Amino acid sequence: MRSARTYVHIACSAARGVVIGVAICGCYTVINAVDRTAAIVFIYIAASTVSVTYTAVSASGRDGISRKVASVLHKMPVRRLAGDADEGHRSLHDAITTTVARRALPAVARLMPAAAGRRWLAETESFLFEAAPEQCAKASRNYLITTPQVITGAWASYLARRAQLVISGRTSAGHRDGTSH
Amino acid sequence: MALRMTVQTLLILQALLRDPGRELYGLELSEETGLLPGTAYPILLRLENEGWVTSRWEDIDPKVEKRPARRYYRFTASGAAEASAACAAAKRPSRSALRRLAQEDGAA
Repeated sequence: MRSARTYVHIACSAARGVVIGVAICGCYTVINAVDRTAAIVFIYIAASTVSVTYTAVSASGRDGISRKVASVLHKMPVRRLAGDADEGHRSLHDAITTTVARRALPAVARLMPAAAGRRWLAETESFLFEAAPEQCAKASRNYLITTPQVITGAWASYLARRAQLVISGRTSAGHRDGTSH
Repeated sequence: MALRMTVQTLLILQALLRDPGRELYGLELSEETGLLPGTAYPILLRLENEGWVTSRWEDIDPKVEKRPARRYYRFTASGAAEASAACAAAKRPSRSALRRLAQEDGAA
């Protein structure tokens, strides 16, 4: 049986599709109907709506929709209207970065040997869960920036271990051969 | 293979050396050293491969605690002595190196 969260996720995905569809139709209609400035303004508003909706609903599968929507909506226009423009932009940017990075991390983990990937992913999730929200975006970016180093290191130690096993296997086989003759 | 003693490695070793018996997890290490976790992780892996540091998963039920398990790091029996010798032998980082490190971490 599907859980309530799955249904919420399906509904959110459908809503995302509808919003994107409406935005595309709107852009097409406006560009054909009115002047270019109005079209640009409309496209900007539509793109912002899609971006915020996408961030909110795409996070719903994991973190609970109400909390994420509330935090994203709280962080964006309210503070900006109150005169804290940079903070509003940064918060929205951080929320998007964290969400995107959290989705990218499992893909990165798949590039490592299985055990190392699982461990790295579990550690990143543990850190991001406990870190303060303003720290999360920085940490997520840092995790993604350092992935080449981690992937290389993980494969290097994996291959070194494998090589050691092969060498020790050959040595013990050699010893067995030596004793049998 | 000898361990490369970068400024970041020294920071992590010093954080662990403050109380060699104590176990530290990612967030604590990050707060104590000022390094971001992605920077600290490969260093901890290298230290573990060298046998200086050992790590373990926290033994909890994530559903009960309502948070994922932490990975704890601490020195091995020989690791603390080797690390303090390495820290003593390492050249003290210059101010410009520390400033550059702070700027890099701030930009990241």
